[in-house]
Amino acid sequence: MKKTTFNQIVSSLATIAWGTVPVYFYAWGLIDKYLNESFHLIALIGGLAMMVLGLFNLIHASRHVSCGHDHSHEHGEKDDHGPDRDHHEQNPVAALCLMILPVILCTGFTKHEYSKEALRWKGLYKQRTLRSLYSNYNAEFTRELLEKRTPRTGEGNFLLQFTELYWSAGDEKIMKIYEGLPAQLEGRLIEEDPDLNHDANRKRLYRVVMTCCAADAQVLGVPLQFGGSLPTLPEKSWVTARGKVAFESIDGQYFAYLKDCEVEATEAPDPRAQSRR
Amino acid sequence: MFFETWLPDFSFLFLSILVEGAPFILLGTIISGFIDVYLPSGAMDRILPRNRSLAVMMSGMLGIIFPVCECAVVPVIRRLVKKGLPPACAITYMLAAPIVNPVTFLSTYSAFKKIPLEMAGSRLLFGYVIAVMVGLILLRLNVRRILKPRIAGEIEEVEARRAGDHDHDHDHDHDHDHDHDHDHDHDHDHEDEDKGNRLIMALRAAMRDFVDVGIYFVIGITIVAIVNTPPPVDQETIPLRDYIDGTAESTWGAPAALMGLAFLLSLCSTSDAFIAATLDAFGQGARLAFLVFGPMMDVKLLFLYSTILSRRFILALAVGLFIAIGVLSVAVEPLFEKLEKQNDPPFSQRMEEQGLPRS
Repeated sequence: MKKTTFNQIVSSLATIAWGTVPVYFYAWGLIDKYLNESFHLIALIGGLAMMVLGLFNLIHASRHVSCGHDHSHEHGEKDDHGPDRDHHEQNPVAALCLMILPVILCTGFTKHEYSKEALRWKGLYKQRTLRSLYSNYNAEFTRELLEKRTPRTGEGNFLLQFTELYWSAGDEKIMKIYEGLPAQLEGRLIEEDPDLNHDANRKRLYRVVMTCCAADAQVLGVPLQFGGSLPTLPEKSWVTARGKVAFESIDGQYFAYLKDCEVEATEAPDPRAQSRR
Repeated sequence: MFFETWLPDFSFLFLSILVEGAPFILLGTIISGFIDVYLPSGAMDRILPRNRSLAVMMSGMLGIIFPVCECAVVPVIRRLVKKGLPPACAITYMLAAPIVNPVTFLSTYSAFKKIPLEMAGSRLLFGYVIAVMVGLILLRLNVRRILKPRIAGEIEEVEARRAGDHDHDHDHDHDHDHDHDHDHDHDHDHEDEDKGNRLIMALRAAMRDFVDVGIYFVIGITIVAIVNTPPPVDQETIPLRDYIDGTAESTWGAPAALMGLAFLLSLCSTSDAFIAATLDAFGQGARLAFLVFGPMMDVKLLFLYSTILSRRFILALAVGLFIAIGVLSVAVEPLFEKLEKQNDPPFSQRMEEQGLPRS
C-alpha cells in the first residue's frame, strides 16, 4: 500500500470517528445533556458531514487524482497546490491516536452529567445576584401582575420557572412580591450543604443551565425545607416540589427557598417541550 | 476520587466542547478545501485594494460577507495565506471575523437588554479597530517573524514561482505533464472527469486540514476541560468563578479577570454574549473586554493558531491584545455608566426577557 493511500485511510477513520460522537449523542437522546438546544441540529449535521467526508475519502483513498486542468497557465503560475497535496503536518498514525484515543476514552468514562463535586464547583450551594434585573425595576411589577401572568396548578400553586425563583433573591421589593407565594417547581433533588442545614430538615433542588455547552453551565440551587421527615428518593432524582416561597439572609446574601415542602418523583422534562413553553 | 469523579467530569466537559466546536472546524476546513482547489493563486490580490493599508482595513470587514466563528476561520486563513493572501490581511480577518459578523452582532444585541445597540455596536467597533491595528502593525513585519517556518517557506516558494513565470515565455509551461496519462484511448467526457477529480481533491484537502487542525483542537479543549474540572483532591476548593467575582470592583482587575475567564472558557463568539450578560457584578467595559478578547485569543485558539503562526508571534499577539483591549475597556467604562443611566428600561418580570438562559 502506498504511503499516501495509507495516510488517506488513517485520516478518513479519524474523521469518521469524530463524526460518530455527535450522531451517537443525538440518536440516543444524550445531546441535550451536552449542548444547549440551539446547537443540537448543528452538531447532528456536523457529525453526519464528518462521517460523509470520511467515507468519501475512504472510498477514494487509493484513487490517484490531479488537477488535470490548466488554471495555472491562465494565471501565470504553475499548479501551486501540488506540493501540498498529500502532506500532513503530523505523522498520520500519531494524528489518529491523538484524535481518536481521547474521544474513545472520554466516551467510555463520561456519565453524561456532572458529579456532585462538580455541581458544587459550578455553584450548587452559591447564590448569585443579577443587579441588572433589579436596579431599574419600575412600579409596574406587583404581586397582582405576577399572579395574573403565572399559570397555576389545580391545587393553587404557581408554576414558577426555576430561574425566576432563583434570581428573585436579590432585591427587597421583589422578594416581598414573591414572599409566601405557594409555588411548584421542577428540578433534581440533592443533599443540602451540611453548613446550611443545621436542623437537618433540608434538601436542595437544582437545575443546570447552559448557554452553549456543558462547559459553560451554571448550577442553580434552591433549598427545600421540610416540616416532617426528609424524602428518601435517590440523589439527583427528578422531582416536583411544592411549598411556600421564603427568603433568608446568610452572611448578608439573600437566598430563596421553599418552606413546608413536599416532593414527588417525576419524569425528566423534555427540553424541547420546555423551550416551547 | 480520580476515576469516580474527576475523569467522568473531565470526559463530560471534553465531549461537550468537542461536539460544539467540531462542526464549525469542519465547516472551515471544507471551505479551505474548496479554496485550495478552486481559488487560483493571486485571486485575493485582485479582490483586495493594491494599497496594503486599505487592504487590511477591508479584510477587517470580510466577516460581514463571510461570517465564520473563531474555530472555522483558522483553517480558512491558513489556506488563504498559502494562496497568497498577505499575512497582515489574513490575521486581520482572522481576528475580526468572529466579532465583525451579523450573527455575533445579533446575539450580543439580544443578550444585552439594557443597552443592546450600544453594546453590540461597541463590540463590533472594538473588534474591528483592534484587528485592523494588529494588521497595520504586521504590514511592517517580515512573514518569517509571523508565520510558522514551513508555511513561510511555502509562501516564498509560491511567490518565487509566480515571479519566475512572469519572467519567461509562458508557452513552454504547456509541455509539462499533469500526471494523467494521455497515451490510452479515452472516449469519456474529459471535462466531467476533471470536475470529479477536482471535487475529490477539494474534499481530500478538507479532510487533511480537518485532521491537522483537529489535533490542535484536541490539545486545546483538553486544557480547557482540565481547568474547568474540580481538582481531584479531597479538600475544599474554591471555584474559579469566586476568584473572578472578587475582582468586580477593581478598575484594572475586572477587565483583566474577565479576559482571563474568556481565555479559559474558550466560548464560541456566536453565543458568549449570553454568558457576559450574566456577569453583571462587572461593569460594561469589563464585559466588553470579555467579548472582544475571547474570540481573538483563548486556550483552544492558542493551539489552533499554532497551525499557522509562529509561537513567538502568538505570545506577542496574546500579550498585545490583552493590554490593548484592557486599556480600551477601562477608557470606555465611564461612558457606559452614563449610557446605562440614560437607558433605564421598564422592569420586566420574565427572566427570559433579560437574556437569561432557560432552566
